[in-house]
Amino acid sequence: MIELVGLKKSFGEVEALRGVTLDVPCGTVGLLGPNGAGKSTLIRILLGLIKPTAGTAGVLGVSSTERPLDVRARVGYMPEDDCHIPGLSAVGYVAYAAELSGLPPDDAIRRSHEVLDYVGMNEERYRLVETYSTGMRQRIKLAQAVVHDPEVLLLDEPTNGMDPGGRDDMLELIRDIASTAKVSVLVSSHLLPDVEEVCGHIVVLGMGAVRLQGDLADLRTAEAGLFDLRLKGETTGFLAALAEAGGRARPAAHGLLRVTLPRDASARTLVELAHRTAVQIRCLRPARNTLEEVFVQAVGEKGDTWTADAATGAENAHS
Amino acid sequence: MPIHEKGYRHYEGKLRGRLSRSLTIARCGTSLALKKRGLIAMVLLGIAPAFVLAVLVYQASRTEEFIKLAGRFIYSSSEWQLLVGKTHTVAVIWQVIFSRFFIWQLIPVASVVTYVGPELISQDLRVRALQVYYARPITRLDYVLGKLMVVAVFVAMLTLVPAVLIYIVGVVLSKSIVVAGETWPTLVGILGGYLLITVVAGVLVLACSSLSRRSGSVAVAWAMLVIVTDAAHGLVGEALGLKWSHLLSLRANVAQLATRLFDVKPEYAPVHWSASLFVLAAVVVVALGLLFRRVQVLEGEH
Repeated sequence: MIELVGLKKSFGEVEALRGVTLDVPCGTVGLLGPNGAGKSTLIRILLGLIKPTAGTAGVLGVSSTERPLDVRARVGYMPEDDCHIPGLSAVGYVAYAAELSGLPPDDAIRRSHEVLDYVGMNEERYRLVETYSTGMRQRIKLAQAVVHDPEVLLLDEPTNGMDPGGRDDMLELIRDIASTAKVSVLVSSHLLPDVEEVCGHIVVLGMGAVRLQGDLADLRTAEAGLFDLRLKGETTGFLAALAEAGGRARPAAHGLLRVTLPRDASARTLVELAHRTAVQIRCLRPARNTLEEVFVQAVGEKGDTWTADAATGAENAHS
Repeated sequence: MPIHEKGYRHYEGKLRGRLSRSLTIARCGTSLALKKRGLIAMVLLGIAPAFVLAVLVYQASRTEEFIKLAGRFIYSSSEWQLLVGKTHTVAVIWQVIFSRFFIWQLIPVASVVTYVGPELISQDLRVRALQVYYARPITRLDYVLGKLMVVAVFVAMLTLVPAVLIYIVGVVLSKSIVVAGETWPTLVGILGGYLLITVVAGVLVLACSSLSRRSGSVAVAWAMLVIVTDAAHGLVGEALGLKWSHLLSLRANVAQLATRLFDVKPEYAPVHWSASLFVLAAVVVVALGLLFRRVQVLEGEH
């Protein structure tokens, strides 16, 4: 889907991208990175809005630097910022976007209604865009991005400011666009749960370089000696016995305990400890890294600020 | 069973060419501008001088009566003699009165452009709508051309459309095909005058509009540009008696070139019209440079 070779971009003395070489496959891809990692610069280069200092960038085999208009004809872009044209209804706005991509006026109106149906806009589509809630604006931003039927979709923070129901709908739409319409999607988001939910592949940028890239399933490999455990009963004795055996435990998501065992121990050790301390094991499985852990490992200390942002974002998304 | 499939559908129609992008921007910009309160009334008021033009064109065939009539509205008899000499053909008279109409229209044009022009780019900056444009297969030139066409539409409503209509009616009422053959320079003057006003007003107001997100500030800047340069012309001309003071005024330079386009003796005769051409060309080139530079920077920002 996206090919980058030795891509560099400097703004004065600041290097936004430092020789990025990347081959992103088709499918649903998450683009992650702390603030200032170079995500927005990368998207702007892919759209041909700015020229790289060195290197090449291409989308679907078309050079973004040499043929930006051809790239933009095949790409749909949903910007992070709230952008609309005052005085237009959603139908008018999306049809306008379609006409700007070259659709004839009649087709633009018909197509506008189709994609507004698709993103779940009903009669409110005839209201002026400036009267919409944040969630509705996110929907019409998605509608204008897909109205010309692109082959690749670049989504910048697609669930920004949406309520939980709206967020679920948006993620479902992204999944559907990728699976049913066979449109490749690049999701740039601060919200790790969103990326985790819809993306099969991730690219982590940090300080203008690729820190990590791969299939999410491969990156979240199970680690030896690491287990998720759920216990029933008084756990104090169990935790003391675990510590005696050289292991340690910490709370994890969904009421689980993340247990780390010494090298010579195995899952059987946990069963024996539970039996000895009279607690029931209700769940025991090898632990897999979360996307957050994958990300933190990839960007190291530089990711601290970002993880805090992400945690806040995730809280907001789920609250 | 659903009667309407709401799933994702691919588009299988054909796409239009590049020129359609600018036309789309122009059409949307014009229809949004027409929603502005009072604009239609302003345009209708602005074309009122066209009725005077129509009467003058009607009277032009009766030369002596016309000169008396024209003397009340536009020139004294001596000025008239100075302008057209002793040759009172319909063609010459038309050139004089149509050029005068274009000079009259500079004020309504400046007013309407002050109302319509400032929002054309500044509003896109304010609501971050540039992203809608630059994520599409359109160039900076397509964008600027589309916005310029919006100005062109309103300038046409005030100048080109009434002038051409009156010209056509004048030819038809003359009942002689010879008149059409003799008066074609007037038609050329109309088209030339229209393009001149559109380019100067359009490029300048768009350049101003690209400088700020606040349309009100842009409107003030544009109005000041017109008023201050004209005032400078008046003050310098009065105080120092300089014959070239009109070169300081946007309006006077446009008037000077408009009279030249109609092949009438220039408004500010002692100074050659090419000086005004040079001044306006320099202003337009600088404004275009600024405009494209700003649009390029803004494109990168978004």
